[in-house]
Amino acid sequence: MSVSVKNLTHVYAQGSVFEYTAVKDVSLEVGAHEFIGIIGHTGSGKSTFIQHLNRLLVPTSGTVVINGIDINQKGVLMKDIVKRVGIVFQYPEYQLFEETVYKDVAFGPKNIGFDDEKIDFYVRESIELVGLDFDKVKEVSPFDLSGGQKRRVAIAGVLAMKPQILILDEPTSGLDPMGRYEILECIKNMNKQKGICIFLVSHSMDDVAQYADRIMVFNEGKLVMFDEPSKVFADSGKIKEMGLDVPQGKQVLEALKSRGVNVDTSAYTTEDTIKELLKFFKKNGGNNV
Amino acid sequence: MFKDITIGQYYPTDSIIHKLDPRTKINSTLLYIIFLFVVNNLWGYMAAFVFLAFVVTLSKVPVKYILKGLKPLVIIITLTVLLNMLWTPGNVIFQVWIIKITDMGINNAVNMGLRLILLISGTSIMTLTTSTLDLTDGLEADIKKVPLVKRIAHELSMMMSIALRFIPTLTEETERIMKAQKSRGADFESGNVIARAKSLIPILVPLFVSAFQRANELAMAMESRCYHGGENRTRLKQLKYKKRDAWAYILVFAVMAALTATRFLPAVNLV
Ligand SMILES: Nc1ncnc2c1ncn2[C@@H]1O[C@H](COP(=O)(O)OP(=O)(O)OP(=O)(O)O)[C@@H](O)[C@H]1O
Ligand SMILES: [Mg+2]
Repeated sequence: MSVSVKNLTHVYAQGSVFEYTAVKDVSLEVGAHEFIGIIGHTGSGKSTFIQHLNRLLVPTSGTVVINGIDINQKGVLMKDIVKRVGIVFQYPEYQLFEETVYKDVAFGPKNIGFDDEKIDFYVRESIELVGLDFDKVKEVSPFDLSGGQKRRVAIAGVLAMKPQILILDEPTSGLDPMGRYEILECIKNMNKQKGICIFLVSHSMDDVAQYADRIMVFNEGKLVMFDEPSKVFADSGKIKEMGLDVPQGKQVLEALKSRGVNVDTSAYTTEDTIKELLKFFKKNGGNNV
Repeated sequence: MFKDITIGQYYPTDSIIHKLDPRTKINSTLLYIIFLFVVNNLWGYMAAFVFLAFVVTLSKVPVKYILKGLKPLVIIITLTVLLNMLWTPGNVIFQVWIIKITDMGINNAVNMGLRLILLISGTSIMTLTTSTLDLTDGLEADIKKVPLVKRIAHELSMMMSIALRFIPTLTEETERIMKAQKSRGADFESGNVIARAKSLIPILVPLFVSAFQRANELAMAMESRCYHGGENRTRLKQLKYKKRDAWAYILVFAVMAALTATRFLPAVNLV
């Protein structure tokens, strides 16, 4: 499942006073099993961009090709697109509507025509994947769950459709640290074990730095960078100019460096930062600097 | 699909019509609607049309916007025209099977069609040039003049302003939920009537849930800021008539008089 986007532009409310170009001339290629992080300040066009990947929005100009098929071509069925590309929206818990968790998760797979046996299997699998106890929640009304549990059910509802490309728009916003970690680990596992291509939109630089193979940086509708985390976060001045920041670990290292401590600031994940600091303390015999 | 709804939509620009006191606009629109029903021949509609065209030009709102407001009502207008055409007695002009078209029928249909179009465009011009805040302020001031309901004037206008305020929020929400369900393979476009009605459940349930939740939160937020209705409330922005409002009223009265006068012109019969 490769994704290839060429010269994608999206204009909202074209021809009215409210006309606004939200995505400007974006081109990119993504391979089958990549984990892509998407960052950009509020209103930079991230959500608008991802909605083109399953034809919820039709490009004003440009093309979106998934697995060799131009999805905006005539004759391409929406059903066949959503089978392959799953989107979990911001605050997906608002999409729950069924009487029971089981039925809600089964809604997607049923729509795309899976048979009952498959549905049963995938529903159970996805509910367990997102860290819920299938037998405990299956008969519960989704409205009786806590916010974090609802979020998981909503994500499971998309996973159960077995997409080969999974797009998540800020899946962890408003969750507690443990919940964040569990959901991100679950996404990572799907990428590593099942080879699902992931697009993760996030406002947490730490999360994308840690999990993504490559990072897309949006600024005012343009794709200004698309590279590995180490390169994206290499120039912290440039990142800050766009209203973003570097991961916290790197912030610590840079702060130390600016105070005259001789550390290497190239680490960008928390883990590497700790390693770098330990290395530094060892070199200095563990004494205070 | 929801972008076509222009009722309650405000077109922000700077024009003399925008600057008029909201009461002037509301009262004039009311008068205009009443007199559209006083008018009984083509001369009258022509006069009303000229007046409307004049106001639209002054308001600097593109004609496109007003036409867009008519679009969702095309069905109602067509239906009215057809019913009038088919069910009015008179001299039969031509007849197919049991369908008789009469001269009176055609005249009635044209009259009703024009009346509806003029009525809707006239009202759209008011909402397009008045922000919802001004609109409800004006309404509140107007309702205060009505004997029986004046005690609940503030409540009524507050309810209306909340309702208007939530139209865009709810349409946005609907669109968001629709997108989420479409991504889960929901299909709103095919199937028979029952299948389509059923396909709305995944939208309506979350929509109602969130609407009630919003209403609850809003009520809580208002109460925690000690909101308690109209009594003793003062306002930051007092409505005040200006000179231009006087001119507007004079013009409107003159036009209404002219509209009444057209009744006495010889009727133009189309056939
Ligand atoms: N339906 C719409 N109609 C008109 N303009 C829109 C619409 N949706 C979004 N926009 C505008 O397009 C721009 C990009 O919005 P988008 O939702 O893609 O941003 P984002 O990067 O996802 O932001 P956030 O981080 O806040 O989610 C914004 O300026 C927004 O106001
Ligand atoms: Mg967004």
